[in-house]
Amino acid sequence: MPASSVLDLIGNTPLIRLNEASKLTGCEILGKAEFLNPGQSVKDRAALEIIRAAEASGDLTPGGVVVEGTAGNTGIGLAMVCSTLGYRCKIVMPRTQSQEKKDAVKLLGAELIEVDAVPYTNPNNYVHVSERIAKELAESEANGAIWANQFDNTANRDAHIKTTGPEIFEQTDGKVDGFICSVGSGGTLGGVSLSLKSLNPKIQIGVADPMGSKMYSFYNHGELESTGGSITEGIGQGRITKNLEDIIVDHAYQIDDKEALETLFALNQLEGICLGGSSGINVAGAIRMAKDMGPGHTIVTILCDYGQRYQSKVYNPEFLKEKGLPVPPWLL
Amino acid sequence: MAFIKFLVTTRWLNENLKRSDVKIIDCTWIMPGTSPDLLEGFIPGAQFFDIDEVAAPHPTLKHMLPSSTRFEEAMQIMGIKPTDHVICYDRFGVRSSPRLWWTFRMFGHAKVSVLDGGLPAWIKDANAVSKTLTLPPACTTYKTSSPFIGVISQDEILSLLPSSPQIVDARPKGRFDGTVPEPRKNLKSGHIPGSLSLSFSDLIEGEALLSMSELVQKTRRAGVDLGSPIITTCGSGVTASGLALAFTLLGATDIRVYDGSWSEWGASDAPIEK
Repeated sequence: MPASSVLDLIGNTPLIRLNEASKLTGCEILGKAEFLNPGQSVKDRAALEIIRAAEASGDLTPGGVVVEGTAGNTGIGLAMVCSTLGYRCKIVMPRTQSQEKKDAVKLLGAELIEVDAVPYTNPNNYVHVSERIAKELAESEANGAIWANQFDNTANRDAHIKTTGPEIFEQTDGKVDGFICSVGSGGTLGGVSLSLKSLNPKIQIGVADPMGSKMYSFYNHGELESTGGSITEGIGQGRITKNLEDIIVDHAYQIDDKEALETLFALNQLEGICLGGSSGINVAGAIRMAKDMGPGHTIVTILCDYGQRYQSKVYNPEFLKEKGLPVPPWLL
Repeated sequence: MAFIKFLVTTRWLNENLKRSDVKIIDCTWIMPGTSPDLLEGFIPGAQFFDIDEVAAPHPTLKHMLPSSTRFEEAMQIMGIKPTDHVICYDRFGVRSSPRLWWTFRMFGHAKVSVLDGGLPAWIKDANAVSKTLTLPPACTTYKTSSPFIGVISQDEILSLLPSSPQIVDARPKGRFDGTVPEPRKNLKSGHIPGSLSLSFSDLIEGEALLSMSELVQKTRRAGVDLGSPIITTCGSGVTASGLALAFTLLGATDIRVYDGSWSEWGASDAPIEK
């Protein structure tokens, strides 16, 4: 039976056994192939649910506008869902973002608004600008305008309670022992952890945190602290967003870029999967969690998106050399 | 995962109203002795399903699950095919619609959903309302299949009791604790030994089900383990079906509804806990 629209293709992604990681740890390490979503990332799920929730609450009716400040995959997901459902989509992005990302959003029909790159504390930061635009439009647009607000809109994690969590449980025949991923908005970790803990309270939840993010210190000893930085994109968080409220995290790991890149390059060379930087953090985290839990466990993580979106950084030998990071040997 | 969304919005229904495979059923059930002030009218295309009428005859229990033959007969008269997408709704919001949803799931019907918010949400969203019910299309042939969500009898529960089955009770907390009297006459107060309390009315806000985040947290706080077998119970098998719907939405797959519920248990000599 044909899918009734591209939206029907969101979710229900397969699990892939990561053979090298499994061999290394004696565990079953499984990756949820979120890059196979039609917008090519895990963010499609949140984008769809955020818009469905706004429809259900009556905030959005056909012809309405969806606004978000995002540099990446959420913008692509929202642009795709909006085109399918007849909404207009405005994405606010810092001028400094890569041309590939700006193009991806525009290709799917969204309007791109570029602003200067300033810190979050500045009222002209792209996130605050997107909120203001949404509020102004909400007053004038007859069909409504919403601010997607992926960080504090719990429709984001609802998507994962409804789909990703139960999918993982079912695809492992209930044998999943642990789940780990990194945090950006907290939607995936928040939703999947709430779902899996309710399906089996014994399932362990881990957070894999890049340098520069405060989740490791928070879930390790309750303090929001960070050191260093990371070249990974779309992950790392300095506060407990609404999507992270009331969740239980059993393990926290800090993964530096060197470890993430080495993991990522191994996935390319040994498993034939070319993924973005956040997936490197996630799989490295899964390996650490597997070592802590011991052989025989089934641990699931998220393979967020394809590596092609990060060719200028994660797979660029010159860029990596400059940063003193490992270089993909086969690209030299 | 199932392809079908078990909970649909009024928006979805409005967009799919004209599809010939979409069959809409009003299954409003009014608790005897109450006369609630309900909105008038029907969703265009709706037929009516009376859970007291299409039921197994019983001296005291009014809406016990019908036999598969009785259900097939009702489906054939209503012109419903096993491949149709059935939308169950009621005039309260989400009250008896999950009961009909469960009945369909019990008889192996694949595509069946509850309309979130029911008739009140449909009207609030300014959708057209029909003054009359719709006549059924031509008769069909309907065959039931094996259940997605089963049913359990009192005898089966009694035989399971020594092994502490997971039973979740949808009645309000006061009735569960035995501090508030039962609305039906001649029933004892209390609950099935070892059962958990999760009032279905706590899972509803206004007319609609709570968000997934809230559902999952309320379920967790009630101590429900969604990955283990679950038996749901309530006053007479209506809101127990509501719990079955909520648990299914959260990913539970091994659920059985105790059809007789407290109307049967509280009238019998079965053990009771308070």
